[in-house]
Amino acid sequence: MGYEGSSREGVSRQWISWLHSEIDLWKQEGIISEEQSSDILKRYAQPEVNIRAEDRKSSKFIAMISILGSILLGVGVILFFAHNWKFISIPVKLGIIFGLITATYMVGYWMAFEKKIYTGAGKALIFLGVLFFGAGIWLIAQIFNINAHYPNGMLYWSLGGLLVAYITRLKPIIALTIALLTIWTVMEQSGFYNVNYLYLILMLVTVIPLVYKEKSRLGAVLAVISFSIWLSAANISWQTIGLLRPSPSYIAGSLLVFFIFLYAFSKVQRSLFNAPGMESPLKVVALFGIFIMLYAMTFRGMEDLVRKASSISYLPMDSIIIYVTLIISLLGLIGYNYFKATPGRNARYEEIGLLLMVLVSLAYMVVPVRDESVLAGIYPYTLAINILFLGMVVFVLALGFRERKPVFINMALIFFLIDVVTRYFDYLWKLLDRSIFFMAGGLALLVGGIILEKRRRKIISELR
Amino acid sequence: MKGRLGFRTKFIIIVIIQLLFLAALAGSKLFTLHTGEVILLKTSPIDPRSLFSGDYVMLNYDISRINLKTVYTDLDTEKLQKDFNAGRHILVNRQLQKAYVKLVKKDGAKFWQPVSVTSLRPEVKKGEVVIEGREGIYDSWGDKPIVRFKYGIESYYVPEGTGLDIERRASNANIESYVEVAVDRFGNIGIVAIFEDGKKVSGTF
Repeated sequence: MGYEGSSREGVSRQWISWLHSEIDLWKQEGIISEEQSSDILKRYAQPEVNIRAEDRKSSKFIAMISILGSILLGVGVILFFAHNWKFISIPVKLGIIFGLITATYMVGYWMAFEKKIYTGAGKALIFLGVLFFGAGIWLIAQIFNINAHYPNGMLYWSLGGLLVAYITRLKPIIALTIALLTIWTVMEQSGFYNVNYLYLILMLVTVIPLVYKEKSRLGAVLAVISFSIWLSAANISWQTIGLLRPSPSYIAGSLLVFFIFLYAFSKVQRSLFNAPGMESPLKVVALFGIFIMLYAMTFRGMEDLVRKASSISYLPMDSIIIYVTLIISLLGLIGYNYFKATPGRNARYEEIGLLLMVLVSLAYMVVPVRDESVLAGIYPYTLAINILFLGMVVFVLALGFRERKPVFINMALIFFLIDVVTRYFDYLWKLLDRSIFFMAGGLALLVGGIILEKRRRKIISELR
Repeated sequence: MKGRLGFRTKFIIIVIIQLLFLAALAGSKLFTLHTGEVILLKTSPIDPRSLFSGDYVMLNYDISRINLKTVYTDLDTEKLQKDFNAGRHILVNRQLQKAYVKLVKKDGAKFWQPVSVTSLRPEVKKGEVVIEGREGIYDSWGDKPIVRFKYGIESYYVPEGTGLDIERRASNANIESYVEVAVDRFGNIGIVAIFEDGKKVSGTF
C-alpha cells in the first residue's frame, strides 16, 4: 500500500546503509520511536532488489572493460606478429596461430563455464578467441598469398563468430557477429555488383532468431542498423544493375518503408514472440529512422531528384519482389494491429497514420510528378512530407506521454527543433537582410529554446 | 551435469571446426604449391601499402590484360562491344565475372601465354594449364577488345619496408621481373616465388 511508489527505486546500497546508521542515531536521540524506525526501514525493506540491480550494472561495466581489454590485447598480439612475421618460419607461424586460438578459447571456457571464477574475464577471452580466429584467417591468407575474392575472409570470420555465438549465447559475441556480417556485406556489395542475398538469409535464419532467443537488445538495435546498411547498398546495386544512376531518393524511400515496417513489427512481436522487452529498443530505432528519412525528404532537392530519377520499372525483378513482399507484410502488420492487437481509438489513429505515411512515401517514389510546366514552383510531395513530419512530431510526443517514455519526448522535440532551424534557413535566407536574418533567428532560437527546454523538463518530471 | 558436459563437448567441437577450417585453408594452398605445375608469368609490380599486413606488392601480369582478338573465345565479343559502346559497362562486366583462361608455353618461350578465354572449363592437355579469371573488366581500346582479369595472385606479402624497393626495380625497364606460380589439377593457383633477372627475390617458403 503505502510502500508502493517511486521512493525505493534507484536507491543505492550505500544510501540504504547510511539510512540504517542515521535511523539508529535518530532512535538514540529520541527523534523517532522504535515503531517509526521499523516503519521507515520497512519502506526500504527490499534493498536486495536494488543491490542486485547495482551488481548487474557493475558486472556489465566489468564485462565491457574486459571486452575492451580483450580487443586491445588482440590487436596488440596481431600487430606484434604482423611486424615480425616474415622472419618466422611457416610451421612456427601456423603453430602460433593454432596455439593462440586453442589456448584462448580453452582458458576462456575454463574460467567462464568450468571453474566459474572470473566469469567476465573468461567470456572476454572467448570473445578474444573469435578475434584470433579472424586474425588466423588473414594471417594464413598472408602466409600463402591467398587473395582470391577478399570479402570471403570476412564471411568465414563471421561464420566462425556465429558458431561461437550459437553455442555460448554470449551477447557480446552476438553483437560482434552482426558487426562482422555487416563489414562483410559492405565489402561484398561495394565492389562486385552483388546484392548479397546470402547476408539476408544468414541474418533472417540465424542471427535474428538468436537475438530473440537471448533477448539481446543491443543485438536487435545492431541488427536493424546492419540491415538498413544492407538495404541501402542493395538499393545502389539494384539501380546500378538496372543501369540507372543511383538516386538517393529511392534509398530514403525504401529505408522509410523499412523503418515503418519495423515500428509496426515492434508491436506485433510483443505478442508473437513473447518479447515485450524488445519492443522499446525496436520502437526507438524505428522512430529515429523514420524521423531521419522523413527529414531527408522534407527538402525540395529530394523531390527534384525523384523527378529526375529514371522510372522504378527499370529496377531488376528481385528488387521488385523484395519491395512488394516488404510492403504487403507491412500492410498486413498494420491491418493486424488495427483489428487485433491494439484496441482503443488512439491506437487505431496510429495505424491510420502509419498507412498514410506508407502511401505518401510510395507515391513519392512510384508516381513522381514529372511535368514541370504544370507544377512550376509547386512541390506537392515535399509539402505532404513536411506536414507528415510535423504530424510525426506530435504523434511521437503523444506516444511519449502514453507510454511514459521521456526518450520519445526528447526525440520529438529535438527533431522539431532541427526542422524549425532548417526551414528558417530554407525559406527566409533569401528574403531577409543577412544581419536581420541572423539576429532574428538567434533571438527566436534563444527564446524558443528556453521555453522548449522548460516545457521539456516539466513534462519529463511529470512523467517521473 | 549431463547438459553441462554436452555444452563442453559442443564448445570443443566448434573450436575444432574453426581449427580444421584454418588447416584446410592452409592445406589447400600447400597442396597447390606442392603438386601444381610450375609456370612462369611476366609481371610488372606496383606497390600500395596495407595497414594490417605490413607490406605487400601488387602484381600486374602480362596475362592480366587479354586481347580477345588474339585468343580463342566462346564469348560473344560483338555483343560485348555493342553494349560497351552503348555505355552499358556494368552489363558487360557482369558477364565477365568468371571465365576460364588456358595458358601454354610456346616453343622456345620463357613465359606462359593465354590461348583461350571461355565461359566453360576447357579440356586440359599436357603442356597446358587452365586458371580462373575473375571480376573481368572490359576495356576496349580502338578495335582491341581487351579484358582485365584477376587470378587471385595479384598481391604478394614481402618483409616490412621492402615493397617499395621491389617496385622501384620493377619500374626499371632493364630488369626482367617475373613470378613463379603453381597451378594444380583443379585450376587453383598460388605464388611460389618472385624473380628479378633470374634471381629469386622472395619466396613463399
